[in-house]
Amino acid sequence: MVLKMIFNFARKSAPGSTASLFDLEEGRTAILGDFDLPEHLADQLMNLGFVPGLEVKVTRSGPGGDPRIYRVDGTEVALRRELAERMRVSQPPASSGVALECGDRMATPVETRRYAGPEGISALTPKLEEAGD
Amino acid sequence: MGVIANASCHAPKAGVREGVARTVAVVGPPNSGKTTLFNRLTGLRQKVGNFPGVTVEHHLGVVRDEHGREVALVDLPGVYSLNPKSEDERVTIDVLTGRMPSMTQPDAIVLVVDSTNLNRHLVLAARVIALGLPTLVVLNMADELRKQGGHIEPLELARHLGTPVALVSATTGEGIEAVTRFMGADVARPNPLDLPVLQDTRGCREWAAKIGVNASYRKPATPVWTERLDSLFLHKVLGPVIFAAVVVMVFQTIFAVGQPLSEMFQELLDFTGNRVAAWLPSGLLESLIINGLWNGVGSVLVFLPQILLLFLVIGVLEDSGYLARAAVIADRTMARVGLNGKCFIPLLSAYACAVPAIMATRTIENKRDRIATIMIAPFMTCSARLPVYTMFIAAFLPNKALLGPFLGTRAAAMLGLYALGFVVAVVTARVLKSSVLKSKDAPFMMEMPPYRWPTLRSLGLRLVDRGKAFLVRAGTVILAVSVILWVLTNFPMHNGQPPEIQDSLVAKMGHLIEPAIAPLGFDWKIGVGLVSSMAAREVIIATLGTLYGIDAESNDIDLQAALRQDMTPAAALALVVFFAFAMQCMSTIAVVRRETNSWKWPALQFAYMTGLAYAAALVVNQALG
Repeated sequence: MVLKMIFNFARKSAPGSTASLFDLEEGRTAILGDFDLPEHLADQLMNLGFVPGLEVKVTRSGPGGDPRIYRVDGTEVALRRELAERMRVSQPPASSGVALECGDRMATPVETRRYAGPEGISALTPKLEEAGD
Repeated sequence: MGVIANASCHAPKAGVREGVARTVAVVGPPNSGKTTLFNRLTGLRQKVGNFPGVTVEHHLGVVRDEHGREVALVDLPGVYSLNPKSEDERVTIDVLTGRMPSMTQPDAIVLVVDSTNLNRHLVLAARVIALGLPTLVVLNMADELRKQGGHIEPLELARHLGTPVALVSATTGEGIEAVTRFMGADVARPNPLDLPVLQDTRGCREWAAKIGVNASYRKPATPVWTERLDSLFLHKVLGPVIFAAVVVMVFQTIFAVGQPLSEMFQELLDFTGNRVAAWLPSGLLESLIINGLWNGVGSVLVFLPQILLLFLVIGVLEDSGYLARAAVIADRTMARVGLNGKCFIPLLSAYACAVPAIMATRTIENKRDRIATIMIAPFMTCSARLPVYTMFIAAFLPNKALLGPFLGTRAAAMLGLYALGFVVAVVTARVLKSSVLKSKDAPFMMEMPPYRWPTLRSLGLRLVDRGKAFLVRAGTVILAVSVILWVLTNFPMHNGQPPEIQDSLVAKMGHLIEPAIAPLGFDWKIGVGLVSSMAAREVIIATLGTLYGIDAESNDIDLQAALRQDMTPAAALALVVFFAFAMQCMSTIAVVRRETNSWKWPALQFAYMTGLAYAAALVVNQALG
């Protein structure tokens, strides 16, 4: 137990090294980096919203600090320590402070000239939308 | 992925049901309200099915489109992605590409996504649209999107995705006509402006963000209530306290409410059985109908109150969003056994009865953890073991005070038997989870859904669905075994009369297994009791009563004395240990078969539990005898 705490401490204070998601304290925010995990697990995590480059916040934790709940990409997901330890995070730029919404940051205008709408769709959708209202 | 449906193939296909014009598959991520939409569309016109060889279940329903034609609707499991490595996702791919042997390729797809969480859910849209089948993208939870200040332009989204888009609330029914209209319309195949490289999840996510921006998507604020309730339910101190209260409530519901209900039900069935018996000419037919069929029906139906109550409670917990929080609280404890937090409530229910508990494991998404939970649930001391324990303890163990007035020897023995079952369950779970059911491929990760009010409609449909599933799939097996047990006790006939029990087939089986059970200290009478208790564990008491010619219900003191004559204390202890471990319950076997969709797991479980019971009883009898 003691050893583990020293280990954690050493990792956190080492200059230049990136911390793991598990090192992040409750209530703190960071930017997701790479995962030291098999591809299919990384893929599963990304499908749940853990996409590298996105902001992640530790919101709460279960009894004894494991599992913890993370807010990422608009949802909250519970992860155990075994996974969180293998996901690297970096501190968000001090100036920005607040999370950049994924949508804003990644957005680039779509080229509209490639659009050749099939008639079926443009015919059906307005009706659908009327119904939706 | 990437298998494009051949749209020119318009040869009439055999539909899921005769006379059905089209088949439409409903696909969507977990928590997208996919099942709510399916239920809204089909109501009670649905049935459960299993795909061959997998534990994945699907629902089939029939809906009328706007022209009144019947359309078959298939509800597929909730998936985040289409990756063949996961069983659910492989099944989804196979169905959508027409590779599922039991099902024709659907004519169209209804893709349900949560409009309050659009960017993340559109990642699945890229993968589904790439399949090339006519697709309707349903933006569900439109009411929540609006209430919480979100916004979307469905037309713009439709233009970018190249598919029709409908803004819908499955809970309120708002906009649902659009889905019905889609099912009847001939929609062209999707023609998206662009699609990302599907293998690159990050690329898909960026594509989704881009589409969202172009459709003026504004994500709604997090619901305030979810934050507030979480700060209560996941509070460091209050959280576990509330959790304990909920757990006690679940347990009390099935134990204190469900059990008396089942007993009332049983009495009602006995009463009607006797009434019917009075009408029938006495003889073989009467015996078959009353003792064989009616009792068989009874032993199926008595489970129903407990199953329905448990599913009502779990339904409220799951639909409200609390179950996910409860899982977070229980997770650390369950992780020590190699399971996850979601296994806690099913295992707890198994203390009342393993049958509803095993059905409740369907809330566990992780397949391996679910199977492991099913495998250990029957070790929990269920209520059917109690009469057996009580009688043998009373017969062989004099009551002495151990801890003053607080704990007597008999109560201690009972607690010991509870602990025994629990310890074996824990050890079994650890063994399974570190060998055949090791889940290094799928560590625990769980999305926390926002809190919502459970709707009566969805709770009701769930009860009907589970009740039907139990009666049809497990009930038939239980009924068949009941009739077989009746045959065993009523044949061979003597002059058209059923034999005395000591001359019946079941007695022959008792004699037959006597050499095998003799080392445990059991004679043929106990053997008969073991065979007949397959119907339900407590049946052994009535059987022994019949064999000794003593009415077990009114005269259990005499039965206890008779047992003391025939059995050594060591053999009696061996017997209760045998009952603690053995899977002495055909209803459990039937329900495991139904839930795992194969005979493999129940057979393995039966062999393991019986083997363990035999070995433990042997050790006890040989060591003490």
